[in-house]
Amino acid sequence: MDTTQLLKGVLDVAVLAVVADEDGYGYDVVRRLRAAGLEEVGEASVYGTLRRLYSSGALSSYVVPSDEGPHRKYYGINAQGRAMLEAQRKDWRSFATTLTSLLGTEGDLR
Amino acid sequence: MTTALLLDHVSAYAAAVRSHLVDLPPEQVEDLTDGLEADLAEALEDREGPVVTGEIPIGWAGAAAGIPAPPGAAPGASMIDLTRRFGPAAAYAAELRAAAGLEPPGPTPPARPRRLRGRLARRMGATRTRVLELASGARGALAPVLATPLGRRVVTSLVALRPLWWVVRGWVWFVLGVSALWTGFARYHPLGFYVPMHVGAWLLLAALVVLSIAIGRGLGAQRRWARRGFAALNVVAVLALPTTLSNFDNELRRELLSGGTEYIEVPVYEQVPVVDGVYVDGMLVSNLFVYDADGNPLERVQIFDDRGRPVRTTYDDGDSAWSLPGVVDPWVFSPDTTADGRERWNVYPLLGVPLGEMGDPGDGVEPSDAPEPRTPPRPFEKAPALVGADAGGATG
Repeated sequence: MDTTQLLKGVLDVAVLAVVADEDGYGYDVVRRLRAAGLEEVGEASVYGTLRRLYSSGALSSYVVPSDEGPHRKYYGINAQGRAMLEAQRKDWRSFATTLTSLLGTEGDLR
Repeated sequence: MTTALLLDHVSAYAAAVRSHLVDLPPEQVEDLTDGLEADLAEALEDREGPVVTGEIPIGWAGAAAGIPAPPGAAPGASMIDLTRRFGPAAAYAAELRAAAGLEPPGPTPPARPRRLRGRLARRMGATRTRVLELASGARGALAPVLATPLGRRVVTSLVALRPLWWVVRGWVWFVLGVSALWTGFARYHPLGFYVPMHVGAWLLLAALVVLSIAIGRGLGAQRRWARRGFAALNVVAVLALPTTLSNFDNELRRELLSGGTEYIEVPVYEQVPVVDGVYVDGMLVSNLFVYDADGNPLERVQIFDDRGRPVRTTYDDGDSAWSLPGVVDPWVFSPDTTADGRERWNVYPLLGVPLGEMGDPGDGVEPSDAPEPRTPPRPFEKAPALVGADAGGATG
């Protein structure tokens, strides 16, 4: 199955969860998502998602200048973001439960 | 060094991504791509990062061709093709845009076409996109070269030569600057355009080289206007380099050929030889024949000019032989003598002797034995008579 298609639907909540853990900049978020097992996550998709969440008010952002290169834009979660994360977490759990029971256990199909 | 090298690639790629977002309002583009350079650079330097399909291990372009990275290869030590790491800039921009929930660019430009600025920006964006696509195509064409160890070494060497270009670039700016500021300078020190001739020029050259190196090392890479300005200056230096080098070569050659000496004007007064003699139709005349009004030939006629100077046809004092028209043997002329014993060469016709009758000098012929001078052959025995002349007989 093309997991990148699956990823599209849940990237928001995944990014929110990572940023809720600790503030992070674009590639830092990508790295943490990949470390968590979402290895096929697209970098531009993550950056775009961060911007969209920021535009919708779920994230705050601040710029940290760098001595040796271009500045980094950090994102942190705010109250609205935490509420959004909580709601999506519930949605995901109920969705996952439904789908798990629908698909059944491995080996059922003969 | 590695960071500066990466930043140039990264800036170019980020610019390419932005060029695919030109239909969006500038603030939105800025918001969408703010910090993109930092993310790209870090992604490139992250050798541990998982590799998505189509990507190549970071900092190692040869890996895409299935060649394992040599041990100890530093990240960024080889040419990096960012389109192979991040995919085409257009796709990257599309992914960024889609994830941010923005509309993909429509077939018709959404911006108001009335606004000249928007139109200009779009056109410039399109041009830039084309240039960047060309550049990325060139990078793609490099891939087979990078797959061979020799090609890799050549490309790596070229990349390592970048600091040399920074210095050369500073010098080209110096030459252009001096040419623009002191146009009259060239007349006195043509070489001063290329090599500083005094302290101020040395300082200017040093400042420009330092600036060029600083830009090469990433000065102003974070600011878009600075990036654009420096890119334009870079293009100017590239375009001016061939002419500058060839002019410098010419000046240097000239300076070396002249041995560095200066030319001093020394007045030389040329002696214009005085041309004596009588000329007719551009031809030197050897003898004159005088006829009276009736057309009869006259002998021993003295001729003077308006200042009383004797008119002489020959100045050789009888040393040379003169060819006469229609006569095979040339003649040697001799002077007449005045009553008080002075030699006169202005008495015409000059009398003379054919050279053949003179005898060789030193053959024992005494001057007294020499043949008596006589009148050379006349052009005609009688000239036409003048109007009113007495044709009957000579007067006086």
